[in-house]
Amino acid sequence: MSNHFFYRSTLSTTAIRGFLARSDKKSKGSPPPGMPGSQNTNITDTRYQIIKRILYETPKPELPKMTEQDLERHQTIDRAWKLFLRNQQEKRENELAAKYRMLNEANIELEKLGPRLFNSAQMGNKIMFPRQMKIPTETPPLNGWNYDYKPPSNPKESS
Amino acid sequence: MLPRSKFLLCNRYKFPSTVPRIFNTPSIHTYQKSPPPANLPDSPLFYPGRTSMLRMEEFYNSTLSTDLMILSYKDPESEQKFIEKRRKEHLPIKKSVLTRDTNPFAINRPPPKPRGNKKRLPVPPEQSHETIPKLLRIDVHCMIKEAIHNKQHLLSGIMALQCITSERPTVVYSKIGVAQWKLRQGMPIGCKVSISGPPMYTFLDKLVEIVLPRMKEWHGIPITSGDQNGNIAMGFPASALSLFPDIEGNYDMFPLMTGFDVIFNTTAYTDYEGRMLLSGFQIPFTTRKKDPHARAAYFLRKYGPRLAIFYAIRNHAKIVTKETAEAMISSGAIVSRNLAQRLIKDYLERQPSEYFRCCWT
Repeated sequence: MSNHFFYRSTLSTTAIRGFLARSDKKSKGSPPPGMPGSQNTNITDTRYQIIKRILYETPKPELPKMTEQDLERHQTIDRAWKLFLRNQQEKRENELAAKYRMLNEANIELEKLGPRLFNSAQMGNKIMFPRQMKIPTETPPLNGWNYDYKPPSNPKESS
Repeated sequence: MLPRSKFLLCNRYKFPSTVPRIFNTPSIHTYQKSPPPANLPDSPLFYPGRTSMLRMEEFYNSTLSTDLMILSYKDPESEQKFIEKRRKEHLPIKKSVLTRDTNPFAINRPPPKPRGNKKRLPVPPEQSHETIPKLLRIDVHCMIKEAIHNKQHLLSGIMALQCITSERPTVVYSKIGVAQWKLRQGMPIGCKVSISGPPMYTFLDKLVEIVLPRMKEWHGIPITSGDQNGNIAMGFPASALSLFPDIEGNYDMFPLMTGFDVIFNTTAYTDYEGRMLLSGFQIPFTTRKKDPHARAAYFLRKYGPRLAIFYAIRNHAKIVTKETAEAMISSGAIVSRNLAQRLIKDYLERQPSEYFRCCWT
């Protein structure tokens, strides 16, 4: 049997579930709990044998046989996708660079205006994002928007 | 005398074991052979690419990166101070090392150790739009104690980590032996996996949306967590593993539920920036409790009722206030006579007040 494995598990979940459902979960022939050697009952646990087979003895997946035209198509699509991602990345970087430039120039101007405003504009380093911030989702939440939300004003909670 | 081809074969380059054997065939022409690129589908290492939208990554690219750029912007003066602090070369232990440049015997010696066990941390570059803190990698690691007496227990950990992260973990071997735990050096004792890119963002998503909210008696990552260079780590108990949807579905199939730890590798150069980044992904951190009752409870728990006030004043004088002291006394801390006398000697120079008189034991 070949020894090499694949970096990502290649069995589909339905295959694994079928495989596991057919197994006997309980260990066979375990000694009674009081006897010495009862710690080693796990050796006969069939689940480990199943897991071992799934991890290291899965059948090698059939790699697709690509013809010349298939390879050309694949490479064209690959290059087009990479170009698209590259353009997106460059657009993002340019935006960030422009924002940073503006931020820096504004800060320099503020420094010239006076120390009080400049120092109060510096954020410091111990700030964190609030816990109430919502990361956008594809679909709205099931409970809808909470119009009656009040931030915690309890001193115990806010400490 | 060996024929020329066999002589070359003896000294051929040893391929790493992770490379599949089909590329490892011996040949006199294999001087520096690298495996073929994995961008073609007929390679076993081909990764087909992301299969769905990555919510966390898109959020970072669209919103978080700009916010982080603004929040982590430092004025030039404090930035220079920080770079100089990191760049500073600490004094070595031995003074003779200072004449290293002129000493011809000191060539090729290892660099001298700094005095006081001071570490040299990485020097950050000048700030720009490219130095915004970013999540590079997440390392998930599992130490399985039961593998000492039965190596098969490792399999449960490996399977669990693979289910959570979708990447195959590697086995971790012990570096030292500890006789008390029957551990020998070189024994397989755990597993770890390092994920980046799409698997990382899906893992983060699962963690933040499903696992962390459902954990019992967990108040957040400790605010003190961090390796001084922006990487934040935390540990999870075994109960957290069962909250992952990948494992919850097949809960019975895992013979052993293990705890695991998660290390967030960021490009931040300080712990504050690392925490800022992770809080942006909605990972909660425990804040320092300023409530006097909470503080009193902490002191009582740590030092016991007899010595709580003494150690609180000795070690944490800045945060002990009148309210804290009152809370401690009301929750059972003892004000002993000796303590009161010492306090009066050190802080007051007049008669002991009635306050101390009434709780004298």
